[in-house]
Amino acid sequence: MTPLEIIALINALLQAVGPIEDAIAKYKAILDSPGLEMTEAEIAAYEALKASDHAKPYWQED
Amino acid sequence: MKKLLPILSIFLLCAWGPCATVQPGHDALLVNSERAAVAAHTTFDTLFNLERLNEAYLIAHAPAVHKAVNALRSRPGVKGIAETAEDNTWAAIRVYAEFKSPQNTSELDKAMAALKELLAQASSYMAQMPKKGL
Repeated sequence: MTPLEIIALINALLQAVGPIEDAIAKYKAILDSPGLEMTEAEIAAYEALKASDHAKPYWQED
Repeated sequence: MKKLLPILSIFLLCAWGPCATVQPGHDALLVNSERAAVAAHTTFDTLFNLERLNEAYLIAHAPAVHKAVNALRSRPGVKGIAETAEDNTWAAIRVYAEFKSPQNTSELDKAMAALKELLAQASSYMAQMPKKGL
């Protein structure tokens, strides 16, 4: 998948419905990184966020 | 909402490499893989959230989209396709970070390719959402 295809996907999602400010804000610091490898502390913080997401009902099949 | 489009686009573009800069002394494959994995998670999280918010409509008007997205999800006690792909990618990233051998490089490349393929599959269904009137 090319970056443009990913952008098209996300734009399609955003045009669909619903606020996703939280999803963007949560990972802004990582995605906006200045090109450094993640530190152990950053990885631990990210893993906690990811695990929290995975536990949300919408990650579960209905 | 519209203000989010360029912001998110920039995040994802950078996350997948073309405009990503890597600081001297840092491994480009590792940095870009970490960014891409985070971008993939953000994409899955958004995808699942939006699909669930519109589930009733999609079941009625785009059942294939609902079925495809649901197939990526987890079940109680069983990790789904998306979560498993994320785990595999991060495992490969961590192994590569510890020891940058040709084999670990190859394994990381494979994990990233699998993750991208999964996102491509998801996009083929999700792209139908706006056409369905959402």
